[in-house]
Amino acid sequence: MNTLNKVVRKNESIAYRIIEGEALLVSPADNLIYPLNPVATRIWELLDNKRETHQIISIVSEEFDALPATIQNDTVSFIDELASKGLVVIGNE
Amino acid sequence: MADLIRLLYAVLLLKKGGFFLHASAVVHQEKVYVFCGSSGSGKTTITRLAGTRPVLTDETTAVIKKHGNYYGYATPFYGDAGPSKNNSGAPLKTILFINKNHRFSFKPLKHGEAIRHFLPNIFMASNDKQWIDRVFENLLLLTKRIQCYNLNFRPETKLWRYLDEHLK
Repeated sequence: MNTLNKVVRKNESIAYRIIEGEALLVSPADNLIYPLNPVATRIWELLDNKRETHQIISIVSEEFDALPATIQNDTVSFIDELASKGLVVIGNE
Repeated sequence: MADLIRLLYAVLLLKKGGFFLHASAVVHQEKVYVFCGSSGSGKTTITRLAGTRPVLTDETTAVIKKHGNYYGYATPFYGDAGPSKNNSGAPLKTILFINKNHRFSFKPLKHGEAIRHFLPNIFMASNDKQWIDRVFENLLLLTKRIQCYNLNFRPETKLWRYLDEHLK
């Protein structure tokens, strides 16, 4: 799947709060809790079903100090992982 | 039947800003100390260290919000120690997330850390998003009023002196 050129949206059934800069996600399907670090929280905030993943990577690259290639790989891996757990939906799935 | 009662009370509690917590509770100096943790963490052990202090429950504590203040109450849901002889409650002093250890130590928890510890220990009557959102709201309010801690403890009666010294 080429996540880079896809828009991504949060699964609307996921309950979450951002507390002190870190998101806590609760999946109603299994009641599992997913705590996110600050970078992952920022990516989560940007998953608005409007921006494509490469646009999110650009924003994150401007805001956090890391190699662009690292940010790209980590962001795509993170989004794919969220999708595999049913926390987000990629593209028009 | 017990499950149905617990479900009904859980709904009522949630609407009033509280919840059922997988925790034991002991009244110490007229305040409720709540000890929360998974099975084997030491909830029942702490009730056995209570001495003459009233034990409200060794398994499930009702956290209740009344007039903006929080209280800990006994429930009819009990563990190894059997039914509570103290069907009552008192103002909440603190909630401690416990682990048995070879030494005593404690750490104050930030809001997010505390909520992360609470979530797996709250009786979730529903997996509905609206329900979980309500739990989040209740926890955000509670953690602004009640300081929560991680507590590692040795199973000794010295526990109470340790708490007195560190939770002033």
